[in-house]
Amino acid sequence: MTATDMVVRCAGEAGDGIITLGDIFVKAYVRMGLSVFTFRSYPTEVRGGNVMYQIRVSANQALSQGDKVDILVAFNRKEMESHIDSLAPGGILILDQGIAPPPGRADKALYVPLSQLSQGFGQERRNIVMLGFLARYLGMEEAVVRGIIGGRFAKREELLRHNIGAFKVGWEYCALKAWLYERPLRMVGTAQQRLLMSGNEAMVLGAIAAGCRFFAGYPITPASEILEYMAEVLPRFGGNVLQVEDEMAALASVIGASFVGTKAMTATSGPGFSLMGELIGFASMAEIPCVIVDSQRVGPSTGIPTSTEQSDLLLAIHASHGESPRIVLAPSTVEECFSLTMDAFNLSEAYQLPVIILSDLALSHRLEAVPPFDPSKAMVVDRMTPMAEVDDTFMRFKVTETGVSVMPIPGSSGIYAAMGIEHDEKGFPGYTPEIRLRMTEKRFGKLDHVVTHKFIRTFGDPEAPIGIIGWGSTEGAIIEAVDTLAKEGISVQGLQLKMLCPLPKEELAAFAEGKKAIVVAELNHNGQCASLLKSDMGLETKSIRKYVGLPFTAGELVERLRGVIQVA
Amino acid sequence: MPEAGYRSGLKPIWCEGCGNFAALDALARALEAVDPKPQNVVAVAGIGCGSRLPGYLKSYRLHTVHGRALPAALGARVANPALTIIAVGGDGDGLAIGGNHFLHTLKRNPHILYVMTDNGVYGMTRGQASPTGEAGLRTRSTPYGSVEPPVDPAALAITVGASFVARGFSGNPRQLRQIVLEGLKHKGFAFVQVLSPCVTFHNTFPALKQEVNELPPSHNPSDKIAALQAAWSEAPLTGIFYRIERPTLSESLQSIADEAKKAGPHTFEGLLKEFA
Repeated sequence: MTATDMVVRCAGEAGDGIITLGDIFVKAYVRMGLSVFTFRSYPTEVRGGNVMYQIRVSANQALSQGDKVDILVAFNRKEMESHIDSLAPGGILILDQGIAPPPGRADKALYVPLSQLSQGFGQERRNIVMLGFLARYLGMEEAVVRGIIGGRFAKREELLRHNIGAFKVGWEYCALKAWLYERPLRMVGTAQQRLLMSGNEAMVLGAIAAGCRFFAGYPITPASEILEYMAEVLPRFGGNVLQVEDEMAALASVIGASFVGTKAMTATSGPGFSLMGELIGFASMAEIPCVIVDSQRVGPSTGIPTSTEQSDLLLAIHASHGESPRIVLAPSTVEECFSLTMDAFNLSEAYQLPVIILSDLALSHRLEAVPPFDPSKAMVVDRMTPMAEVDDTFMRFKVTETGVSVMPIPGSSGIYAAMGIEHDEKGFPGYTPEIRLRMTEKRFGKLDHVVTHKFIRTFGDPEAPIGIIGWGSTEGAIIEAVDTLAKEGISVQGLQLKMLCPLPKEELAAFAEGKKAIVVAELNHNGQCASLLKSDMGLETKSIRKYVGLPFTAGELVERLRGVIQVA
Repeated sequence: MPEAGYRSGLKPIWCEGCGNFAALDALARALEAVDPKPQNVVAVAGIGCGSRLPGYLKSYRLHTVHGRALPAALGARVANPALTIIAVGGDGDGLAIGGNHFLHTLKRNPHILYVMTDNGVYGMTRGQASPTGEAGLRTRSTPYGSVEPPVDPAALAITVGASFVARGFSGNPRQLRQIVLEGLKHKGFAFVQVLSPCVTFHNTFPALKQEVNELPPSHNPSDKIAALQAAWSEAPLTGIFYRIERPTLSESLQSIADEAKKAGPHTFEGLLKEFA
């Protein structure tokens, strides 16, 4: 723990108010000008269970949730025992009174008599008492924290009084005991204004900025927030949101809306995405733009709805029988959840293809501090529609150089039929070998043009003999691992793929050139990205896989990379 | 074949004598009467003989996958309240694989005309029993007789809350044309079941011609119970069983938009401020 980087973890039972405590804590740091990165674990069932909320605070850029924990806040003994092994050497325990630390450990422990202090404010206020204590302990700005509490309970007098009261009591208890212990250095932020938001929220904002005005969805963890936030705000922009009866209805209604000219999106997780398979092929065959978010979670089947994984990659690339071109994008940060969603709409419109955005539970629910988005700076692309009245000779599916043909909108001239059946250039059913050849090559030809858009990021030493490839939410931990190794004199170059289909083979080949070994790090059992690189470009790689429902930490990537490097 | 009004001129793939010809004729005439202009019409279908119908209309057409015509039509309707949206399909497409969408789309009352060509079999795949086929029906997939009783599409539509429910018969084209025209003019979801026999795999024309009667003029179409009883009659009745006015989905969504605008910021910058 330093004055510029700190990891705090709060753990308790469902009902202890951990999420509220964490949310206020993290928002306060953002308002104080610091960078944050959160990771939460939730109870899987609707009642009971444990909650853990980890917050990384950095004066620079918080890239991951951190490795070891500097401050562990535990509300009961069981939680303390569960998490104590994550405590960094010299880490501090902040505990409810009466929790004895485990024997054989010399960790510094501070006690806060939560039950006693919450008297008068209600036992459910223990979390806010702890917040007061923590805030004082860490030298946070009192006015900032109180302002956030005030905002949360703005319209509810009595609740506000109790919460402020509980906060004060915790704060003053810490002030009183201050002489008993040395406090960590205060974290000081920059003046830069940042917004605190989750990956899911950023995707909604990106969609709205790109012109999305129809959303249909079905509740599913961890994508429900996308449906919910869209339902709240999209109607204000003249858009419509429908909660429909299943995921097939969701994608079908998105396709219907898009057919009549409205940019449309749906969002789901693995189980729902499986159900959408047939319609993805339909959208591709009928050349109707649409955007589909798959926020991946542990599978297969019901899996672990509240844990993260990256195991839908090959599904996203291939979903649907037969062969149908589509685009697959994978954002790595909350900011990219915004920008790549805009890109998804633009690409979908430009190429009249379904675009799949692969997020995962950790990224969807992660909170980060992001600079305010300025949509006026971003380009918005609309599909090519006829520029004038068209007549009977018009060919909706005319074979062009790019594979993209003009798409009339109902309400204007150019009536045609969009269909899942093979068709000729005019859009009539056609089954001859000649038609089949031409149309297949038209549709797939689009991907040769899509791939000219660059969606990768490289970092580290371009001359490095070792490379590490990742995709999606793992970027921050990989960057930190590469930096750590660089400081030890071990040179590694990283490449984070943001477009997985079509695969940017040119950039990957250039990256691979001259390297002794390439590692692919991903959160799944089968090494899906590694397998993709092997099958699509013959690229041999070593796999770092993790499939326990948790994200990578930079520390474990460093260890596993060292292992690879020794052998290389 | 010369094009006329709302017919595309394409020769239908249906067998000679198929009940679907009457459904096509009724729809084309209804469109000609209302005349929204072909470019303002979107005809949506799934898969099957009934779902081929839009191909013979002059309009925008969206031929989706089996069972998904209704949600696709729903999306089109919500996105553009000014277009004329028609959904067409058979009883298998609409009540088997499409059954869930039947329940939910009708109850939302979007302004859509849905014509279901009902023949008790899957004609396109050579005649397997479908949800409206009678118990004991012997087909390729039920060689010893279907073990299920049929479901009644009109009764189901009334139960799930459609605001216009009617049944017609291809053997009574005059009444069918009236029914379809009324359905097209209805402001809300209009469901028209067409008894449309498959002459090749399950020819019920002779029997139906004997049994089917028109609803008596005394029928009160705003009485839900009377409507159900009529739909469930021993010998099939045809006519408009149920017709009420209730807010369409688009009207409800408009109210939501008004409320949403009052509930918070409606500029992008305003939304961003909520995350500060």
